[in-house]
Amino acid sequence: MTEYPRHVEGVEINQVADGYVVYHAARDRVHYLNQTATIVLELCNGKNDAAKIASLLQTAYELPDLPLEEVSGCLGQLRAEGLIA
Amino acid sequence: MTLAVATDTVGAGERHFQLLALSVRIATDCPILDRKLEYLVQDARQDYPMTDEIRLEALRHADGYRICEAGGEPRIEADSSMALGRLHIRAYERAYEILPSTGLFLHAACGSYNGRRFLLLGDSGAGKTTLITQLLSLGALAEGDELALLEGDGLSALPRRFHIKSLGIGHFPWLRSQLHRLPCHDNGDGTSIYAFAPSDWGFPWHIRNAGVDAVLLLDPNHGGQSRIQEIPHHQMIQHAIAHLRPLDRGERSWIPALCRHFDRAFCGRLVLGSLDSAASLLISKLGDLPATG
Repeated sequence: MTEYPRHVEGVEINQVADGYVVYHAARDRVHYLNQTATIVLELCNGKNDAAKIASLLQTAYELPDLPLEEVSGCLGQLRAEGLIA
Repeated sequence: MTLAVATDTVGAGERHFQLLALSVRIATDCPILDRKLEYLVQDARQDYPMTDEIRLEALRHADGYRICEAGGEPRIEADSSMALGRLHIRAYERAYEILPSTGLFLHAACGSYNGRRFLLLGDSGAGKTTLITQLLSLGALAEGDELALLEGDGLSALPRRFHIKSLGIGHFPWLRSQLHRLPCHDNGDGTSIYAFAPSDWGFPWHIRNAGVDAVLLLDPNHGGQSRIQEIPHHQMIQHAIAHLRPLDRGERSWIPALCRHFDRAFCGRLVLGSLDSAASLLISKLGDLPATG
């Protein structure tokens, strides 16, 4: 498991008003991401670790607390679905 | 190749109609079968360009009916109902064959009200036909009651008479009083299906090839209250993908087009209680949306 996740190759991302519809051809699976998961996926560019992603989300949404636990959970789901490595 | 659009009855015993890109001609020498063809034939005005044609013949034969198509082996059907079924299957089969493989069918009724075009997504029995027919009587334009083709930048209802179940005909007193005018299929279990064409009752029937302004997922709530609840686009796309029929099952090249279409539209769940309240709610909601034409 890499410390700096990035989304995998061969993933077709379709943006809609309030989320993403992601098609993963290698697994022939379609994923439906809400806005938060979408932002987390966008930040998985190989340059941000979980703490940095949480910090960016905290700033973007003006959150009182660092959402590290939520980000870790989301990264776990994205990893389990094969969308990030 | 683009064929001229024409929909009519050509001479005695030959029917002519459009099925999306296909021009269909069916000839028969049997008045009984000719009358039964009313169930299949429709005169919806369609924007979809015709690019191919098929001519089928159903001729009386010692053993029933001989169904012929240029270049194909004749088939014998035992009676007029089976002959009608064969003609129905072959015409639609051919219509689907010539559509681009990137297209897909959504299980949805389609119509518009005051310039706002809508889709009603739902399983069989969810109320698509009943609601679209009710909306027609309230001033909406109804295009289709069952399937909608999404292909490229356009969405077209499948040209087909609306199939109103005998158990549901009571919702429409204006139809019930003139059932003799409706082509009917007997299911053999005491129920039947009436094949309703808006144009037969003087309503405009124009199947456009355009985008949609609203997508509603029908959620039956018989005897309860009706309401509309907005849902995120990605959730609506998830519902749609669970209920669609791609023309090419080997690819998912239609996903971007589906996302583009739905992204422009209001997406909501229409909890369908009483028919009157659901229709009123939908009309009110459509009135709140900006018209895209």
